[in-house]
Amino acid sequence: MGLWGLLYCRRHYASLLAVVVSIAVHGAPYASAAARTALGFVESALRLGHRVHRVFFFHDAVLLAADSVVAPQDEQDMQAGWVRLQQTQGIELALCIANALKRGMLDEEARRRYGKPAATVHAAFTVVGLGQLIEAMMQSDRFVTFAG
Amino acid sequence: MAKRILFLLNRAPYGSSYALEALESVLVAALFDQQVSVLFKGAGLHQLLKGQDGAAVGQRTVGKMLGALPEYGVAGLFVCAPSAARLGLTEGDFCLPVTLLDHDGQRRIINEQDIVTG
Repeated sequence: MGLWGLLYCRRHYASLLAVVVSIAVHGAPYASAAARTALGFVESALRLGHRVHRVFFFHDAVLLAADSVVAPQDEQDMQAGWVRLQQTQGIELALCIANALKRGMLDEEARRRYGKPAATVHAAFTVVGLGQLIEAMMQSDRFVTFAG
Repeated sequence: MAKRILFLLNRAPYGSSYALEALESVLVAALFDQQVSVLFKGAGLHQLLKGQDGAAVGQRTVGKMLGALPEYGVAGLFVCAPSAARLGLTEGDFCLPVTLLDHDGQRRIINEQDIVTG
């Protein structure tokens, strides 16, 4: 069997074992490695043929969604990595609404409701209730927390 | 189908907002009729202390919120016994009836879960 055959078998085998994964990210970007480690995990899971149902940003991790972030040129742009996953693979990036609001992370709807000067959440992220965290736990075969 | 979810709480109640926020997720999990347990470890044991008043630091009282857990159907309330020993705390110091577990006991209940989270 040639290399391509081996690769085909590996891929086929992986799809048989594919599971639905959701993750929670807790640690703040830069103050912790949680968001970076989680990104690597999700990319690997997708590469191995698994399905990622939802990424739920909780606690200080909601700050990752800040639309005003300017990443240093000589560092990996962590937010860009997540945004790419959302745009190319349709991965849902969810922020806990209670945790987001008090940290100034507002989508357009929240901006209007609370009369704030600007929306601050990048369009790739959605702001959702805590119920979506538990729904992700219920709908997934594996749930992994990146505490940070 | 209901999942067995263990929340591992190891943060002090007022040093950051993590304890309160985590507690909110515990309550929502219970509202969704999951089989929820909580294991307090390390500084997280301070969340359980009697006589705390969050108003002194402009916050809700974590211990009082924890008191709602049994009403929400949270069955398992566990405390890491080595953490309690290190902090000089005994069952009488806690505002809720809890089960103290040594490391083997903790390993056993963690193995029984579908999900372990913070």
